[in-house]
Amino acid sequence: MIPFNFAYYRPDTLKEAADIFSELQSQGKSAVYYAGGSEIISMSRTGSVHPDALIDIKSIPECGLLTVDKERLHIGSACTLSRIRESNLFALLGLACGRIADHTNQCRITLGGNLCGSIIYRETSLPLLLSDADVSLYGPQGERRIPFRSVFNIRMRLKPGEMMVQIHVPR
Amino acid sequence: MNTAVGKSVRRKDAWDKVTGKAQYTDDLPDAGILAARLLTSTCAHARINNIDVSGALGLSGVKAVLTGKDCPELLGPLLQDRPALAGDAVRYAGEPVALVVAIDNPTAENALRLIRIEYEPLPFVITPSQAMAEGAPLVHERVSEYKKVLADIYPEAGTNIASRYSMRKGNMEEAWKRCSAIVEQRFYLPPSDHLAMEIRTARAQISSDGDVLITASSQAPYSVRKQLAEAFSIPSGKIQVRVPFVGGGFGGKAPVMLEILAFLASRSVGGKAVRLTIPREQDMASAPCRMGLEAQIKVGADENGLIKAAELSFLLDCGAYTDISPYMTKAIAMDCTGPYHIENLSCEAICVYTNHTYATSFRGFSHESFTFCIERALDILARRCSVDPLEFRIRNAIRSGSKTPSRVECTASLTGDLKQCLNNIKELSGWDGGKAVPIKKNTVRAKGAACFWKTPNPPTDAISGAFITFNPDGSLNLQTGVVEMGSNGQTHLAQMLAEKLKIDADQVHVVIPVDTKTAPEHWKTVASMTEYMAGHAVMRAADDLLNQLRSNGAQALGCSPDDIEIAYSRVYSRKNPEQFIAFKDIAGGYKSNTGESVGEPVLGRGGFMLKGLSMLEPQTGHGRTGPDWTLGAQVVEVEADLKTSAYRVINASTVIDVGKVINPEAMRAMIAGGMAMGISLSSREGFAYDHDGIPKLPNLRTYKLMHIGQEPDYRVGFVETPETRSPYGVRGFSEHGIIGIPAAFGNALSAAFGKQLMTLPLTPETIWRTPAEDASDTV
Repeated sequence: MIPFNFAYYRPDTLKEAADIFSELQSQGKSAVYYAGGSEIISMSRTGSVHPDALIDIKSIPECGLLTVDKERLHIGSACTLSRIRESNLFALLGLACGRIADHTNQCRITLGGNLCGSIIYRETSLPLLLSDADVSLYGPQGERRIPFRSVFNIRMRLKPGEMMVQIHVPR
Repeated sequence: MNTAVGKSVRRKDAWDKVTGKAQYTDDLPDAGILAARLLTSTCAHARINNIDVSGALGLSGVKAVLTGKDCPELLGPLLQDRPALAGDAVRYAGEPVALVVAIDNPTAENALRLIRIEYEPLPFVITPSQAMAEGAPLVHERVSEYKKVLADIYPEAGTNIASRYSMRKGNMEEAWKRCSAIVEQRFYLPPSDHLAMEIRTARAQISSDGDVLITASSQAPYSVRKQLAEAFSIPSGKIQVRVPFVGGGFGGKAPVMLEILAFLASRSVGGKAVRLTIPREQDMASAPCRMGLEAQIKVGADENGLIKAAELSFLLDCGAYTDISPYMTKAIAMDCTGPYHIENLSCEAICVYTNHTYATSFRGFSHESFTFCIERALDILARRCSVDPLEFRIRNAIRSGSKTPSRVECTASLTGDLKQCLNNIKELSGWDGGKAVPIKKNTVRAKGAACFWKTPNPPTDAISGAFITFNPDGSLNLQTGVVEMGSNGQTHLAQMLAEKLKIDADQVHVVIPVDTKTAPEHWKTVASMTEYMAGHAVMRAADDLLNQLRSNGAQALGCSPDDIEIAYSRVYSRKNPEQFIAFKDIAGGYKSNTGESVGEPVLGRGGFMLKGLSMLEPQTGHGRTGPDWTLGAQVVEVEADLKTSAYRVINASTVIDVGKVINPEAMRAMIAGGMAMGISLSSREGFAYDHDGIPKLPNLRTYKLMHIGQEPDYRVGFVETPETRSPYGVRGFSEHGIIGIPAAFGNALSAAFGKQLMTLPLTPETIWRTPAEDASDTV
């Protein structure tokens, strides 16, 4: 059981999400971006985290994207591991996704959660480092797109209020 | 011709379960019910100097806060050593210290955080050998003053020993002289958890005239009634315990814990209904878990590969309170050698208190643990004797005329046929001698074998019962006190009844929820004894029912009761079978064409009490704890990566002598389930403790079970050597699929990696840390 109350937001755009974050921050409230929730739920149960607010990014179209164009494979941060694996678009990443937790959890855990969460393994990072992927991020200061390796060093080095939007893997 | 026994009849609870409609305790409506939550100890061993509950009591919505002062009663099924809430001291991290009753769960949870406890840490003991050491801190200072519930519990004053059982047979000194190969090994197995899918939960309410109603996820509703009645001096007729569906028990729901706490919670708020559902983390750290075990095994064989002597010492880690552990210790002593012909034996099994979460029965009642130790040692011994490990087991298999460790003389009926099981498993598993077989670079496959056996350890006077009634359509209702928690006991009983009446099993309806006010007492749904104990009761109830049908039939048909035959839902005279009366027309008494009433309504009842069991003679262990044994053989095949120490389990096989196959598919599934649990247990499960004796992260994020998709191929074969005193000859089988698996698994991995693996769980890291095989343990 999660014994505390929290506010739940479900923004439809990236800007809305970042605005909510900034607004909460100015009120002195702690907020976390929420996708699959496996970590937030289990850590809230044990009392290791107690955010005042959750900002659910699953309704933001960019975060749910999974598509290929001529140059790149684009994967939204809210894509579940099972969706990535079953798409068969990136074999090594699919293999990594299929080894995380178990099938039930793979249907909940997202790429963003696996990379940005606190559990240390971050299994999906290796295929992304090897493939010279880019990552796009969005935060109160707007959007930026940079090489994944420049922001990932053991863990994601995000700015306050910044969230991962998409991974772009060269074909 | 069989009408029901031997058929894969569909489980009576199948549709409700697969459609999600089955109602478990915590699914029942909870509108208006108060919520209770537990605060548990953060220390392994500490004196409680003060508890300040004022902050919690001041929180709006809190109805009551209880601490050890509110419940001085001591509890326990064998030795009354456990308070419902810790009194002056806590003895394990996770021990319940305070209980909050509030309008809802969040309020109760928030109130817990306002309780202030002052602990004064005390020295603690974590392993049984630490607890046995000279001058070790005592978990209980006055262990000999606790009240014994059963006579054969022997706590030793001034020590951490809760009980001790010995077995002595033959002449050890002479026997060692005849051994050409001797193996001596130490083992350590950590505690782990049951992890039933349904967490433990209980509800309680007390009516205005003092009637107590408990609804709980329990394997032992009659024990709940008994312990509540005794501890709180309530006439047992004023206690009603209900058990709806139970989502897995595995022994972990046989102890009485939350039921008492829920009762105390309800009592503290004037008898209002209270619901106590503990979170998974507390289900793991606070509620009783699987025991740990330390063992020292010495076995020797002569030049013909015949086992001549075994000297065995077991220290069972029962944790902070005994619960049923002394009987698990006794069970180890009873079966300590495994199913082998060994004439010279010395065995010491000691139940030791530690500052771990207390232990309770776990599927197999300690057999999976000691079997790992003895079967690992025997595997090494076989290789020392240069005998194929499976052949070695055939050579030494227990047989008619052999004596068990407690000197019960074996017959085919008593134990079944181990040789047949071993011979059958050769083919089932594709046995190839148990050597590592290279399949590609750095990769080998290897098979490991193990045998198992088990006899139950119930109280000598355990009872069961059955009621049978008819419906107007001529179908029957069977009611027993057997809890349906997945082992399919109720469906098997329905099949046994249907067979007796020569009707289809779908003509027998079962009453799945157990209510102690209406269902006849069944000791506990444990020890795989449903088909034996409740089976006997059902057979007697069926005889009673048949006699009444015969009487009605004789009067209705105008013949002698001796001429009456009953089959296919009909009553008829053997002399004139064309003239028959259907059950529906005669079960409620018979009305003739002229309107005359004949006979009486038919109501079957049967009771059964175990007979012929004894306590063990304290010095030699001579005696008998169960009616019979079930034995079998198991093989596990692994594929090992010698470079990384990773491995996977390819298949697992069991051949078990069940006496009689009642339901092939259901029994196959139970055995496969046992194998799955055994592989999970031995590959990844175990509680780890930090330097302060606190369990590390007891939650399912870090404590991993085997998942669907990770399972090997399961193969099951049956041998049917009838147990002549059991209904249809059936033996207990529900637990047994697990028993030899950790050992077979350990034997397979040891062969694959060329290392002697002596602990569990065998993770790749553990294997990697184990040095390559050496022969230094040879004497």
